[in-house]
Amino acid sequence: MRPWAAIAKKDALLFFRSRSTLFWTLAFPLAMMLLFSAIFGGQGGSMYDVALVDRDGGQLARAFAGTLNSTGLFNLHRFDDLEAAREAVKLGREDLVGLLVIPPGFTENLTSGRGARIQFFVREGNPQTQQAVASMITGFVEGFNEEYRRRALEMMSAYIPENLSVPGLGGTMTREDLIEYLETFASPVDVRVALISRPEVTSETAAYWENEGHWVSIMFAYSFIFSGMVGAAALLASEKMTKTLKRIKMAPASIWQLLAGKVVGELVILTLSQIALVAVTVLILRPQINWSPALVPLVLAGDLAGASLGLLVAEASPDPRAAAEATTAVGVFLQFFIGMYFPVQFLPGPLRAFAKVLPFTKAVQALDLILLQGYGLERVVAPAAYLSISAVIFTALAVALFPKWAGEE
Amino acid sequence: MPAVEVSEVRKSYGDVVALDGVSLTVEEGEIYGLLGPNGAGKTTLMEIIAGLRAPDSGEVRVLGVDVVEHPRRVRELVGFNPQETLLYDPLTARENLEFVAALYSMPRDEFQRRLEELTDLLGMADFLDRRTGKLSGGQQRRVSLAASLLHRPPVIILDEPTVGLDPDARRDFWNLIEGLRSEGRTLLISTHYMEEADELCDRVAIIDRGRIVAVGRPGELKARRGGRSKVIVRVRRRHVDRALEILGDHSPALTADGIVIEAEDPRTLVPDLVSLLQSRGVDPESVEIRSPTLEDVFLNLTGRRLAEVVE
Repeated sequence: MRPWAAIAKKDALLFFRSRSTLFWTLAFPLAMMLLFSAIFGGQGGSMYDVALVDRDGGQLARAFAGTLNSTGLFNLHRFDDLEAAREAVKLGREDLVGLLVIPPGFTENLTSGRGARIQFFVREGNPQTQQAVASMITGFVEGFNEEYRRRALEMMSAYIPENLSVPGLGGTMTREDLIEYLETFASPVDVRVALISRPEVTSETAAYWENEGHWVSIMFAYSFIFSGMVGAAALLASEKMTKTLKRIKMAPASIWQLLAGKVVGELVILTLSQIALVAVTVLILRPQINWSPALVPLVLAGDLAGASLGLLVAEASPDPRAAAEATTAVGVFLQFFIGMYFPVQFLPGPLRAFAKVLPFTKAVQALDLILLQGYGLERVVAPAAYLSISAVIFTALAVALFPKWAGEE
Repeated sequence: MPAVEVSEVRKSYGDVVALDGVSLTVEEGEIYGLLGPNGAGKTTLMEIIAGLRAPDSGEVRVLGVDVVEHPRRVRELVGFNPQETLLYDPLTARENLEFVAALYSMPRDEFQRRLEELTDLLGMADFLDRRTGKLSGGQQRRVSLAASLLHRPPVIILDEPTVGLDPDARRDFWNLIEGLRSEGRTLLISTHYMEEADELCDRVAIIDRGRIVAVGRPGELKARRGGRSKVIVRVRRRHVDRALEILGDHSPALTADGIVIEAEDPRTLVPDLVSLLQSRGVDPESVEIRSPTLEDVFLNLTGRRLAEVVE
């Protein structure tokens, strides 16, 4: 094995044998993901809150709403005013995920055999929630129609002669054949599903809080900072703290082999961490995201930026222990400034300006655009270029300072 | 060709002079000791010879190779075992050694052969696959020494190799050093244990405050710089004054060890002293001849006791 490969392998072993490191780089972000997605994911329970505006008020409309409420799938909130209901759903008051409107004439139309159309407006947000609520409503209407059909035909069957025998498509049609035939036609209630957009809450914000795909971006960003920056600084600083740098320097391996080993080792650590973090996130949340080859250069740039920044801090610091502790503190701080847990726009002015110059902020932006919006690399040029240029600058500085660091022992 | 040649080497850290014109020559196959207190400059000198530090001035060659011009070549020739064990605690002993072998670009099959040899030589079989952080100090030292010997260096530098070892482990270590000597390797050992230098070394350089104050075989140094032998007479407490009076012509000195008399030829003096005391009614409890030690050499050369400086 070549010296650089041995250094990379050794660093990876040290990284993955440290329980505290594993906790902070793998277990902690996954725990955060579970916690935040439980809070903001909009799927805290199996019952959805839905606004109901009954503009008919007739017997069948009440029966329809009552049956819907009794399914246990929905918690209906009655509104008299349609606009008030629409506004409440828009703003997500009382966790409302949709609005069901029973039109005037519902009862009359049904009883006169003309059929009726209800409207269901689903609130824009988590696509999985939208899909689930709409499917439940459609499924309920189908069930309602089936039941209504059954009862209507029961009533009608009293008027169908017992000895009915008329020519039909497949031969002579009896009374039973006619009832079965009519069942396939009857669909008295129709449902139209539409979307209620939320102008007060931007789609970007919604993506942060309700689109599980964002957690994949978070896992990448978290690894850039903790497996990358903090990990690289700690592994480099520990060579001095434990004096093992002397062991390496006793050997004829050059300092460039040492640096190459450190960088390769970090990239291995980052890749393995990212595979673990993203795989668990995808398995648990099953987000709807767009896997794109554009992710590869973007993630590599993020990896390099994180690792080289960590190396740079460790090299520039006069005290290796302080360097390791400083990067940990900075890493914890950065989580809240790069748009991992909430949009950068939520920060007050000066902090927002600071957050926007951080390369990891650009990484989160670009990752979200690729993963959530399905953009290609050509549409995330600005943040990707910012991230890549930062990575190149950090790497160049880390390389330039490395001989001094290695010679200080 | 000498194994190590050091010529007028100087090294300072800021205002602190670590080495002040040190010169020495270590012959091939020799065990050469550097004896001196902590802070005397032993480690700095060894690290310069191993190519880990550059001297401010002077010249150092290992088997003819200049350490400043060709430090990486020198590192192939030298196996340096520092005071600290320098192991990665979360890795097993085998993984640590595998890592070091890779730093020397050692082929895998050669590493396996060498590992087996060193496992036998250093008795590491029981803990080869345990994480080094869980090993005892003595076991860690053996792994560290194995790391320094893996690449079969012709010159081995051991910096305070027995610090922290119990007497049995230290004795085992001395046997190991003898084994390395029998393989024809050159050893440069620093120590502040006099008996260790006395026992192991063919030649010793006494170093103090960055300067070598004496060089020679331990016996020669003791004979040349150790002063006269001493006869130590112990009598009962109530006879001490009487004994001092009887031995007055021999310039006795009362110490914690007993009545001390310096002698050029202690073997002929002892019977005379015993007869003299007994003829005057004082029966000695014991009479001991104490030859000069390297401690005495250090004391005579520096005016300080080595043990005091080390403490």
